[in-house]
Amino acid sequence: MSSPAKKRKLNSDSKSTGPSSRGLEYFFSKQKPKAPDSPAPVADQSGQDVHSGDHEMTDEALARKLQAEWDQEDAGARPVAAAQGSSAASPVIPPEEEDTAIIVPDHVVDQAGTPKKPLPKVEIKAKNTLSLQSVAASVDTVSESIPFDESPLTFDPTKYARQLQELWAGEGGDASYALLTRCFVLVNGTSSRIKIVDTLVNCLRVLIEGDPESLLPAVWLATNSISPPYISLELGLGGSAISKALKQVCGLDNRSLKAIYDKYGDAGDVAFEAKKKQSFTLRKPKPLTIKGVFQSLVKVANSQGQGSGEVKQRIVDRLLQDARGGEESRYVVRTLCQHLRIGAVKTTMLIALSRAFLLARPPGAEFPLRCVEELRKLKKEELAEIWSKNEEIVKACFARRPNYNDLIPVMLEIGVCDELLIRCGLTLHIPLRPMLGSITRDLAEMLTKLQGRDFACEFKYDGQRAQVHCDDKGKASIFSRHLEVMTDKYPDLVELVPKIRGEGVSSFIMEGEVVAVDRQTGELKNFQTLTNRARKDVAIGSITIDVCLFAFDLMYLNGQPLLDRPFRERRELLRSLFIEVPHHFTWVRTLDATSHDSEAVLDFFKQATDIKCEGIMVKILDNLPSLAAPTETDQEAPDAKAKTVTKAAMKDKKPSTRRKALLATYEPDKRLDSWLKVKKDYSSSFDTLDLVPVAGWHGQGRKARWWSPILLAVRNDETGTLEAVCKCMSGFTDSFYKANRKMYDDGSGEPEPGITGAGDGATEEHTRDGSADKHDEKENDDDDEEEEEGEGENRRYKNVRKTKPSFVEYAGHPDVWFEPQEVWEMAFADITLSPTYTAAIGLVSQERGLSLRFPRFLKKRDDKGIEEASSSEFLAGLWRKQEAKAAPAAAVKEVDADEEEQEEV
Amino acid sequence: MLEARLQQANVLKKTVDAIKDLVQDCNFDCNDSGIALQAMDNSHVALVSMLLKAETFQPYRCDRNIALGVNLVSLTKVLRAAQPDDVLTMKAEDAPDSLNILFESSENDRITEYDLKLMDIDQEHLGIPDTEYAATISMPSAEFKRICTDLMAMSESVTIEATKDGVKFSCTGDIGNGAVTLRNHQVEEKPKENIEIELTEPVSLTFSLKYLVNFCKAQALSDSVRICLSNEVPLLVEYLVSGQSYLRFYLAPKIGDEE
Repeated sequence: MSSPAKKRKLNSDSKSTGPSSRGLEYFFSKQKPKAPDSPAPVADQSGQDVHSGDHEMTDEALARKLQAEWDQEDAGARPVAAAQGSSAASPVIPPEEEDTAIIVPDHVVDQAGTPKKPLPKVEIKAKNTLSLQSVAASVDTVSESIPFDESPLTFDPTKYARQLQELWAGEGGDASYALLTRCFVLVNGTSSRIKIVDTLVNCLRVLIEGDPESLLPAVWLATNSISPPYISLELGLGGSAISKALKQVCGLDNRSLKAIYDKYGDAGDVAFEAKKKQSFTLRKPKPLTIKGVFQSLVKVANSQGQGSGEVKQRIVDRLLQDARGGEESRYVVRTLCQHLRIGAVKTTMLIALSRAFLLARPPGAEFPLRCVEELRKLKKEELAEIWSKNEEIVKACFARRPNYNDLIPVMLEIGVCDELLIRCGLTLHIPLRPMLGSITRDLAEMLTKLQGRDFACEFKYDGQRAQVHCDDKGKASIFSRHLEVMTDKYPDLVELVPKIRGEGVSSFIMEGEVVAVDRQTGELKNFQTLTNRARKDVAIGSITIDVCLFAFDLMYLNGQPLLDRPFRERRELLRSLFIEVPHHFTWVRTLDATSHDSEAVLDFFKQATDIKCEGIMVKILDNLPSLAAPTETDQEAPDAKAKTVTKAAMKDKKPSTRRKALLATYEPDKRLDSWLKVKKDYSSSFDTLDLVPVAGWHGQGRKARWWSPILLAVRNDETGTLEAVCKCMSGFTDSFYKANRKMYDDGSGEPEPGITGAGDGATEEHTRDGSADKHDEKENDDDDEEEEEGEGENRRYKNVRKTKPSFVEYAGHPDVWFEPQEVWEMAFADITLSPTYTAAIGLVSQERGLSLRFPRFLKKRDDKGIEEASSSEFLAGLWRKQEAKAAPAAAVKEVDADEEEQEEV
Repeated sequence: MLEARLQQANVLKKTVDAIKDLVQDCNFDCNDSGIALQAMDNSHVALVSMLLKAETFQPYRCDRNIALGVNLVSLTKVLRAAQPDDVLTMKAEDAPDSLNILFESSENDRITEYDLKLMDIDQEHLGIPDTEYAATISMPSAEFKRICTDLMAMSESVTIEATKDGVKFSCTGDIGNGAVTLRNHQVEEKPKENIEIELTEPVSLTFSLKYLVNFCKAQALSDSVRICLSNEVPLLVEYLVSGQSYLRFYLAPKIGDEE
């Protein structure tokens, strides 16, 4: 107990340690005379003291203190002389020699002057001893108390970086995962976007200054990915791997693990709880490092083939084993589940990075920083302008080269400046993020928006958007709109692409729509036909579904990016320099028009929908020659940073913001009004169904205490049974969930508020599944979770059944069966044939029932009883109607992905 | 240069069998006093410590300290080719890439030779302190194995309680509970069946049966097993191989639910 290092730890944790580790001292007292433990804390004391002058005294005092301690320890250790044999081999400074003892603090003082180097003393590894360790007890108190959520203008990363470096030095020098966990906890604990960004900024600054090498892995971990989308690295871990690891590491059996699972739902929260039950281990765990965790993930993703399951399991076990405390386990597990739920994905991270590099630079870097004191004096608007300039650059880089592996190293070297765009710009065979179109309700709205401008209308084909790269050697890569590699999927295109280059074209990046066609007639097929193509390793001979590439944009030509050129120019290059190959490669049908040509546009739109296109895309052709155009002010670009700029600009009445004008340039990753989608009327096919909720499952994560999803059924008029038609978890509000849970109560009760509450409060995705971008939006639902209903015991088993009612048709196993009594009005995208659901079976198909895509709750129909719910015959009728329309609406999938992304602001 | 000749391949076979499920890769540390191995399982709950003294081998020669990094699954594959009574010889250079293993049949002149690739394993050694245990139980190794496998059918963990009356192995599971109690038992004629309990203070600890059952695979090495318990100290299960050579397992107790 006499080593200061030990004492400090124990003091701060004494409440959690409990009796489990106290009694170990006598047994392993021989661990103590290790010098390496002692100098570390001494260093941080002296590091601060030194500045107050009086070096000599401090040093000597310390030396004496150390000497006294060692003598004492030595005496204490002597009884276990037998054990000394092994420890003698470790590099202990012989305590008998007064001189050496004095040298230690001297040395420390030297180091305090140059804190960037880790203290060499500390790196000497102490030889560990076999002993019982309670892992739950060891916590990184330094990281745990860093106020990352302070304003970046008051937060001092240097102070913490230094402290942390000393701490890390003892473990190999890499930044600890505890630091990142601390950041996650703080981010998770708030719903304020500003706080989230501040927290990330501060965490990044500490890393930039303290351990720049860990910055890149930290960014990957915080964005919950391990590679850019165009490099396919999948963890491929099932929930069972995590359950197994939890059982193994925390000494749980199936039953107790299931109990925790049922209570909390989310695997991360389960890990948090389970870690509390952790048993003893035989040695002190090595703290997780940011690098280590990231490398483990990469290892998991890379292990393939025979026995890889076991290898992965071992890595997962190890991660959970070494996680200190509940929070680290929670986030390790959430990371492994690929569902971090901290609401800090791409956009937030890019903003945070851009700010962090304004305020911090790694040791040795030269790029200019902003002085915090100066920034503090600035007005809000001025500050916003400074921030947004850098955000623009970083976002632009990432849109052109969406890979942190490329971005971060350059940033560490030169910070955020215009050079970054050059060093980290558009490159062949690396996809850029596509420009996106805004949705309009109808043609009229589109025409109003584009008033006074020349625009091009293009068919929006019902296919798959593709980005085609081709280098001067004729090597082609094809990427999806989500930047996944599709080169393997379209070997026919890969073969075709070099041939479409006209004279003078060597390399290019173009964008187009891949559409399934009939090779003989050139007739277009719908999107579903295209989806029937194999996805991977398609052999060119085995292709049965022919495709045609309809090009619409050219972003790069012969080594030159064309993003800054107006669309008219890009299109001209695309049309003149490439060679059409009938039914293989051509250009999209277009019509150039202005807002006066509404007749022509309408006609064009009709032509588009007649050949099964989704609608039309409308694009601005030219940039405005001058910026004085009157239409500008109400055209607010829907991306966040533009907003701040606009605001600032409007205040100053400066016409310097070209941005809000409709641009004819290619703006990667932006959804601007310069590209507009006009689609076939959404609402014309707006049918709803009145369905009966019949069962539910325990929710995951935030919804752990509610029923979600909920199983819904239609009524079969002939048999009187209820036939399950879909699960629904969309369209419900939190208060609806609460009421629902109260109404259908199986008595299993809620977990005590507070345990999940802290972590789960505000973050949750919109319930539609889809792209990760949804995290970027934080729901600000009024948090009315605190008042839990207090009626207690008497409400057990209300409106629920333990087993399936005989009149309900469903093959699955929900967690709870409802007593059918309500009718809910539901919207949906379309009706599909389903092998799982049996609704309307026999009416449209003998083997398959019908189900709904994207079901969404609209409202309760209190006016209807369950006998008035929609019948299976009605459902079948809707399906027939839908099929009769042979709607190109089959491509709803793409559409929906688009819409989801729009929420990212 | 290492050269170690083992009269019975079985000793190594059994030893490796007993530890291969706990540990995947580990170093065989060879020096002039013998071959030692120390490794911890992935979850750091159990530790294996093996020492095959130089006297176990005939002859034994090791000029310089060598660490042989072995994948135990691979080693098992090689050892599977050996008959129990084969004479086994291990040879390695001073900075070896591979370990040469030779089996000579005791009955005919059949000679089998393998070269096993080695790897670099960065392994940390724990100092194992000598401990006065509160309770030391010696019993037939088969008996211990039987208790563990029997109780394993009931539960995942066993509580070992040593009092002056004897030692009680008890467990509680979904289907009920069970216990085996042993007392001091010494018969001159059958020393192999002796049960000896030395006790300085009563002790009661709970352990994972999965690990204990794993340890019991070493039963083939020795007729008797020594189990040592103390509060707040890992459990020691020791099998003496021959002479001073041993195979020891350490296991961290489980923390009871009441804490």
